[in-house]
Amino acid sequence: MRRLLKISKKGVAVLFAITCLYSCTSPEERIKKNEVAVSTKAHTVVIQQMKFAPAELIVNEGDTVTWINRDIVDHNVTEEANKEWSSSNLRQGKTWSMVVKKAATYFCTIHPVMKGKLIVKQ
Amino acid sequence: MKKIKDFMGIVVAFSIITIVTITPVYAQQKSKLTDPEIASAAVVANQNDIDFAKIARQKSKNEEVLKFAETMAKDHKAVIDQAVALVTKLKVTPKDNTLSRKLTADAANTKKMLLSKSAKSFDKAYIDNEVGYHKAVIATVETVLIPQSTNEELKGLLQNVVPALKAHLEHAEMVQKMFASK
Repeated sequence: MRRLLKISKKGVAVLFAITCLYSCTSPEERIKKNEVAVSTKAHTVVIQQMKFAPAELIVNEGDTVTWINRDIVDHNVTEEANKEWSSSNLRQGKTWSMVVKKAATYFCTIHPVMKGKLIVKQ
Repeated sequence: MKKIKDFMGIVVAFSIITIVTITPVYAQQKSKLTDPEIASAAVVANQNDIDFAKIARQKSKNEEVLKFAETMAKDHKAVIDQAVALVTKLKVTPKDNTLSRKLTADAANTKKMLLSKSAKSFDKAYIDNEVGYHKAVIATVETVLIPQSTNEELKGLLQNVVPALKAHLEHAEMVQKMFASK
């Protein structure tokens, strides 16, 4: 009986220590440890005057980016290195959205001088 | 040998004179243009490049040249469509003038030159012309058409077209460099 009491006292102490450690961890650290769900954000890149604005966008993995074409001419959004993803050609006023899985540089295949970059926060 | 050197000298001198006189000629427009005349010049300038692209589609086998020509045909058509929509809205009829006539006459010579090229020399001739033509048109739009247009919507449309023309020039220079490195 005394032994059982000793074990349960130890158990309570360990449980207390874990609870304390968990509550003392900052939310940022818990996000890093994947202990809590990260709310994703939505971003917009405007295609205007033959440029992607902003040309460089910093996002979290899982965020959604929407491109909107405000130019007279058609554009598209295509991953540059291996063409891993691409929108169809977007006419004036049309949009295209994508969930960001990893960092990428992208361009418009119709106007290859137009380039943009997605930077994923570590 | 001396004769060849003399001949080459004349060719180089003629080329320099041609480049110097043709490139800025549209920008040297003396008389002030009216809005209907500006609309006409803008449409002609865009149509010329669509015509050059049509020749490229017929004569070229080069993937980069064909892609560039397709972009020129689509983009300049989009600009013409916007210009037509605007003049229709403003109830303005584009009016032929010295600048639009000069653009048409020069384009006729360019088309003749492009059509006369062999398959081997066509691609470089087409891209070289695109570089020169876009430089000349950008100068004309920025120094003649925009400052002289009085209607704010027409001025706005012309201002919106300049970045596209500059991107076309940069694209043409990119393709031109590929030929230079071959």
